[in-house]
Amino acid sequence: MKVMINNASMQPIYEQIVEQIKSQIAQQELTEGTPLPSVRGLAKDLKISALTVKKAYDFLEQEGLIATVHGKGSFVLGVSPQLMEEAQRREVEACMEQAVAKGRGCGMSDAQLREILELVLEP
Amino acid sequence: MLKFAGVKKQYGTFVLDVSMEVKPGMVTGLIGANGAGKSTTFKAALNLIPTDGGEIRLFGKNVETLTPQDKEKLGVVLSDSGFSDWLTVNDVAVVLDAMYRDFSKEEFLRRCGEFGLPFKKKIRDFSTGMKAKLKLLVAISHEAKLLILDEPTAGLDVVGREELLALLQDYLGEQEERSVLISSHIASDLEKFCDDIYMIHDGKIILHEETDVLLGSYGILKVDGSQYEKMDKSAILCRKKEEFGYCLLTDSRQFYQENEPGLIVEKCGIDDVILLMTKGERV
Amino acid sequence: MRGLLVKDLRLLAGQKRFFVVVVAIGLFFMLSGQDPIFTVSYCTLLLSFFTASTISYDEFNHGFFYLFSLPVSRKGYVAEKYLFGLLTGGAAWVATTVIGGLYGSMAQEDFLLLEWIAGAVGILVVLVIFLCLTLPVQFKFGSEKGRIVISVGMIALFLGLMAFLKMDGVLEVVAGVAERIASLGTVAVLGVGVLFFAIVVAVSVAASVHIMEKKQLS
Repeated sequence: MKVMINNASMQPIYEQIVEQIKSQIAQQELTEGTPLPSVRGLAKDLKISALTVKKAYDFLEQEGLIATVHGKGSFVLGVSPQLMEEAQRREVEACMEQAVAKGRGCGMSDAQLREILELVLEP
Repeated sequence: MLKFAGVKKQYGTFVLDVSMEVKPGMVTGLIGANGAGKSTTFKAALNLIPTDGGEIRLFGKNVETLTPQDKEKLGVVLSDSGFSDWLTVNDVAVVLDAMYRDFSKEEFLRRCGEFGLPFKKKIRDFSTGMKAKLKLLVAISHEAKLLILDEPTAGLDVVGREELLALLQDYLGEQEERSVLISSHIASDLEKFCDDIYMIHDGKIILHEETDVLLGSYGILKVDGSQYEKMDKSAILCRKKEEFGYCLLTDSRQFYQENEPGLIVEKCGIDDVILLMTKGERV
Repeated sequence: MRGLLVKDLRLLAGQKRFFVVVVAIGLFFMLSGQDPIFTVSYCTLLLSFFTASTISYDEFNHGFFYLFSLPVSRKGYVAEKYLFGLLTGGAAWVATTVIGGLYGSMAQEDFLLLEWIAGAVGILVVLVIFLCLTLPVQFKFGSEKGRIVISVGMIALFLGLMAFLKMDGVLEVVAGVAERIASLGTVAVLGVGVLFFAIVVAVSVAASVHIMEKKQLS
């Protein structure tokens, strides 16, 4: 399981971990039953505090994505299609946000951006 | 594991007044300038110096009632003190073997070899870095439940520090309830390793926060005079006057990112927080 | 306490040069025609000096802080120093008594075994009393200042004793007491000696423990 932290990002680290794991689950890169790295192990690799990793894992467990067995570690649970859809939606949203940011950076107006979107949507 | 309740100690004009706690399984950091009271706190925790007030409980017992058996569960690194300079690594191994039930000599010597420590040289001929490595290897050599480490990375270069911190992470990973109290004035070491951090200044604890909250929610705002007047200051902890106006510390940068989009909001590290809290005024 | 003992023994072993010199001088004394009892006293006392130097090794560079964070107690620390002093001084005593005795019985015409043993036992007594006097001073003042205090103290004691004995009538009283004890028979004399001994050791150990428990580490 590969997780990369962007230290320069304004997004809190545990959120970054949660999102990356979520999208990996949604894209079937992490399949049901796959064990996640131990809290300490991941903390050591990412060079962050173990509590941060624990928060991320707790969050994922609350959302029903992983399960933690005391003494054994955490495992990925089955994925609901709703979650997959949500993850995919978010990814697309992120791409679009990037495009919008770039456009605005060039000085384009919202109207111009919508034009371009229509153009791209045409078959 | 370790709890300081209203602990006081006076040295002339310097007064230490500390309440803090290391919970099982946690890595707690103590950061502060030289002379802020870190070493005093550590020595009090080990009953090496008497206190003028308050109570320190270690493994649930008052620290003054600790027996040598209790102390076997401790792993200690002190910044200004260690094994006698006239001993060698081989000597230390034999001494530890006689002192601790859970000490593994082969393991210890193997690790010393891995870290490049000479076996027959007297400690007085070691470099600072080698001394630091030895101290830490001794501390983790006997299945200690609580590590009390005062500036364990002092004298080490970046690579050496990374190696020691990785070693510590592995050690903690072996058993869930192992805990650490670690002090440093190198903020980045603590940021990468500690679960929560106490900041000490002039003998008092000025801040206690979880590391990921410090890194994830705390922030610095840079505002000019007029912005300062108009803005919502409810989440501002302290301010520092600058050329351009003010530097402000907040414990919720998301609040300002969402509600006051015009203001410059930055992430911050432990060093920034310390600077602002010690040099700035509370708000 | 075991760990402390091992540590001090390793420190001693690390000072090979010291050993060699002491042994060489001791042998020199003996072979150059001096009374071998000299060798016994020299070697025994010098080894017990080493106990004081282990204290200075311990306190050097703020070493006490680290030492007492290890699984040792202050009482155990005191006990170990006495034990170490007795062990090393005692070992030297046994070795030199045996060797000196053998040499004396071969080289000296008027060698009497009983006399030799009595002399050697006298040295052993001096060793124990020496430890009992100097260890508490070392614990209290640290080894640097302690050495000075001991030297000054010894001179003062010597002078004081001389002055006391020179006072009118004191010598007669002392002689009278000694005669009375001697007249009680050898067993009684030995008994008094052992009692005196035991008291000295007990007082010394108690004082040392009290000093170390109250000591402010630095």
